[in-house]
Amino acid sequence: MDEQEFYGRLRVDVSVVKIWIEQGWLVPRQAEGRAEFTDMDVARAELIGDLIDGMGVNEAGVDVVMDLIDQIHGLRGTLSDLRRALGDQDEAIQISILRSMGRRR
Amino acid sequence: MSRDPYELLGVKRDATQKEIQSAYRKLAKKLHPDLNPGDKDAERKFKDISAAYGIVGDEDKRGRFDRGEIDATGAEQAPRNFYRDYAGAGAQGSAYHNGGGFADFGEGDDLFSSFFSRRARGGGSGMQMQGHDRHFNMEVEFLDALNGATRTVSLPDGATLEVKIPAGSKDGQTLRLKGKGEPGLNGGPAGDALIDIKVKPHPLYTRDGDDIRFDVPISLREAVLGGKIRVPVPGGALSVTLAPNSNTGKGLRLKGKGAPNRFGGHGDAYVTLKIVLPDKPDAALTDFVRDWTAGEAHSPRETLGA
Repeated sequence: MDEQEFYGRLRVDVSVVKIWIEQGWLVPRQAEGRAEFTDMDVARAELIGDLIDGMGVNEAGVDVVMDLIDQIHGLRGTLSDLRRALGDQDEAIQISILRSMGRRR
Repeated sequence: MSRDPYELLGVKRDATQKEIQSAYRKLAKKLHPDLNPGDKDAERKFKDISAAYGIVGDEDKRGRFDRGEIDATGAEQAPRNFYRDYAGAGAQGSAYHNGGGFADFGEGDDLFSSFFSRRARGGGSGMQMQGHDRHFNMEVEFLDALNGATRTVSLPDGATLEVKIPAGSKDGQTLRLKGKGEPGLNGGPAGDALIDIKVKPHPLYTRDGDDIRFDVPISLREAVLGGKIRVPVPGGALSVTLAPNSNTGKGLRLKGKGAPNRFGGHGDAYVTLKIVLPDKPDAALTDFVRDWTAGEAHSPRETLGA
């Protein structure tokens, strides 16, 4: 979606969203010199709005929270791939891996 | 939502607007679905408290609710998707992908490390795999490590690898040659060649980080009278002026005559003087020292208790 539609779907001021983009909290795709937004960007912008308005998090806080949230999703994605791959293995291998993990705790 | 909004937010009916906001913020921080990406219930709980706050967080609506003009279901909520729904569905390759939470898992040299390092860089989970790194040890002459050199390493498969040793390389340093390891799987990138450098000792010089240290022998005459002496530094010799009465153990710092460092400068050379007598006894020197009465009173081991 273009900038116009993106701002229309958010319940925050255009100038505010521009600052979020400057801060790097939102990274729209650039297509033919224009910013292109996705539904993911809308949901992310709503989350940033919740942090600031709903929870009273300040600018530095949003920076930290968004970075950690991105890291958590990176971890979750990797962990879920790993879980699925382990699930594909023979049961004996899965048991052996579980035992090995148990020994490290 | 049908429960009482005050009850949901955990505030009394006569709470101030400020108290209601503070209670909502506390709950939102705990229950927001994007702060609990794995909790399926979080969305429902968050929607409940948001709806409650939508009524009693607004002074006007709160008044109408208290007077019974609207009920607890009266708060409109626009339908929305949470960020976790997108980020969880494949943030790999998106501008928001961040592998910082596990990038260090990719540092080992086992099979799984390359899986993690590829994920950390934002690569997909296809079957392409980076090749293994290959490890080599290489002995390097002291001066080659100091000045830099190019060496050829023979690989077990008969191939050779040209290795550029950067000037100022240190013992124990590892050189990484990108893409010179084992080939990748299914079009994945090749691994790296990792070369551990062992610097051989030098008969005169020792390395101390970017500095080098060595002893310089001086004659008795040079020690007593001082004057110019030539000092061998790597790559040539330098003239250095000694003060009269320069003793064994005295240190000189030759600025910038050490090893090249990675900042483009050089370390220093630290020289320790060592007085050396002539190989053969000299009759005149022996006579002079025997008749030198002040020498009898000089007791350099006095402070050592001997």
